[in-house]
Amino acid sequence: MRVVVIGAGVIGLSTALCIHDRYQPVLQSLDVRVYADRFTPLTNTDVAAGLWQPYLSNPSNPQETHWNQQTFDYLLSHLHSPNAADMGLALISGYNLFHEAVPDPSWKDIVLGFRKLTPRELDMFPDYSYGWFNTSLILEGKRYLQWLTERLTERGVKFSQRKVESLEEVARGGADVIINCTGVRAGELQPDPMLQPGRGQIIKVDAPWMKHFIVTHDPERGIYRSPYIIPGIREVTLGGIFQLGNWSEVNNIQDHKSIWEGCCRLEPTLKKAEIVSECTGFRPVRPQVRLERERLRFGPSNTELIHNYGHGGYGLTIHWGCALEAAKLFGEVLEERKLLRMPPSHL
Amino acid sequence: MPVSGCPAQAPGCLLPAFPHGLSKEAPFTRQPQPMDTVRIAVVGAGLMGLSTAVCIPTLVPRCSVTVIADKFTPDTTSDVAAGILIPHAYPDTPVHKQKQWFRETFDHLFSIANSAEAGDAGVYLVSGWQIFRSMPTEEVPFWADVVLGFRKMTEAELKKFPQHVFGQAFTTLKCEGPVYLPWLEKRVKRSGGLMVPQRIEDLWELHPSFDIVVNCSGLGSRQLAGDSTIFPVRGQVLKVQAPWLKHFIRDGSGLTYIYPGTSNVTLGGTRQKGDWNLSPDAEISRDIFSRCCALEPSLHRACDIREKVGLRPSRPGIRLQKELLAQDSRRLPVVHHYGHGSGGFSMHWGTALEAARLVNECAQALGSPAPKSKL
Repeated sequence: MRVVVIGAGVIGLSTALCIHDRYQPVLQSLDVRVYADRFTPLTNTDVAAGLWQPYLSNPSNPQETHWNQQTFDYLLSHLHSPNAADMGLALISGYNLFHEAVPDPSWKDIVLGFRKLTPRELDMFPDYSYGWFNTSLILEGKRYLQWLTERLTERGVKFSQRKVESLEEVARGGADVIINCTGVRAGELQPDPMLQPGRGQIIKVDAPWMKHFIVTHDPERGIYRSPYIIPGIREVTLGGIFQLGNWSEVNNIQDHKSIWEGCCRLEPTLKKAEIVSECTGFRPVRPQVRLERERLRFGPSNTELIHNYGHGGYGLTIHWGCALEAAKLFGEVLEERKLLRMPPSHL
Repeated sequence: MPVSGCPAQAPGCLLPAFPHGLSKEAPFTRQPQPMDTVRIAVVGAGLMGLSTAVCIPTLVPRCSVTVIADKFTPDTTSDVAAGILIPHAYPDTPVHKQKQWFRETFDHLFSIANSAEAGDAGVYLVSGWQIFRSMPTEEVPFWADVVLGFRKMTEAELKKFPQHVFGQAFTTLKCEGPVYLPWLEKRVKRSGGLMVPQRIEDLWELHPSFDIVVNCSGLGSRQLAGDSTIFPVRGQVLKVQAPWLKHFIRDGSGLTYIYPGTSNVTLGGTRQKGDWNLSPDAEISRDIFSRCCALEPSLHRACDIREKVGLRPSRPGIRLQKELLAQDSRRLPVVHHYGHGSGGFSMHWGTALEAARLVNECAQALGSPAPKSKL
């Protein structure tokens, strides 16, 4: 049973790990491979700040709320182990700021210690008049991908650096099941008018005195278009860019100014921060995540396809719940092919 | 390094009487001062000495300030402390005073933390948890409304600490000695203050070069003020690299704590009464590390572990008091400002302001024709 996962961002690698750990014990012939043209540190996951935080509004697919919760719980359970830092995982508290009162988010009971900001706290942010404080998680993309790569390598999962031109090519190469985790460029393998790039640009600075995230919201401008400051393990990510349909991989000077001015206005202490790097990434924006099966027929055989892409700006936030769901769909494939000897143990 | 004084024998300066036979290059001399300048010596260059030296010129008209100490940053006790603003209770100091001083300190540092100076001053906000293995007698301490967002921890939050049954979550400030003290030194110098590295064995050495002495010598007051109520409470800490930690964690007993800083994380600690030993103990270090890892398992990955020891200048109450030293016909007004124990950073600005007010009272009394006994 050859499984090829296309894509080595957080979705590809976590799905590969989830499927391997769940089914390898019951299916000796399971052979999982990861094909990708870009690996860490060149994926979009590497650009993400890594703050666990879903969008403010409820997702159009209620399953996504469940997947977000599963991811948070999964990460939280790893926090108590000595490995947490190796995974790029840490607890972080911080502020969400608004220009006016807003309803509480659906995830308020998932994160820890959710509460409204007090007047003295709001005094710190003169441009904003309302906000929340809560404790969430940081999962640093780059460190997590390295960790996932190590775990997969230990398990004998093979990686192959190649540009997949078509699903057919992979099917004819011998794959029984293809997991499509190609993210923002999924459209190259199968056109998807609902998928668009949500270009983001971020500046990473050295500001080790920053211990909180600060995310601002401006409903007129839309998500990710308002300044945000997210401390990582070593560096602090400054952002606030979201451009739908923009495929430019080059850092843009106007965007740089917008980020820098917005974040320094929000947090004046940043003026003394040293810039370490700047990069561009593309959120795989879609009205909802595409997580479903499809059966392909190339020549005489069927190839099972499981799509797992379109996680927008909340890939790290939702990844494990989606990996579990993809693994469940994979289990259905195995059952249909009568390959399972016993029910898979609940992960 | 602190700057020594000015050329010896500059006109208008008084040469001190030197019983120890030191060189004629008297370090207490400085630029000529107008004759009605109140000459103030601050003994001690730790947190109390420096912050008092900053406050004094704002309250006392026409004064000169000279900070004299045998140790300057980074070699003071204040440099070892993590500098987190969580007050300790002083049994002999009224609670309303403690709250006032804490609030004054918090508000002062809070405005620095929100300004462009924050990085230079080493002051920033940090959130975290104080956790208890059994219900504390006081669930809401006197300082709850001074820190930000104080509340009880939720059940979900307490799950992180299975040995603990109760906890408080809040946001407070951290004030890093090795950054804050140099910043205070700069402020002292900018307002014309001098730093003089010299060990004072007796406060009378400062007479008659100085009109008022401010005693911020911490444990040195056992000798300098003959105060036997002040004693060391030895604290050993580890400074480690664990940059992923963004929250403080403090066990309510005060014995075990994790305080993330700008360049390292402080792990503590010990409270060894009457112990003067400044050398780190390896067994204690292992114990501290083990206790902290129990609270925060990710610390097993911490590296670059360094040991430090500080002797907290502990006293049943903070001594903030005027005293008029008298010997034969000599008079020396002294303002005592010491004895903060574990709570130095939490109280320092409030008590420094009070010390400066006392200094001003002394200065007024000097100027008035009233008999000195009024002091």
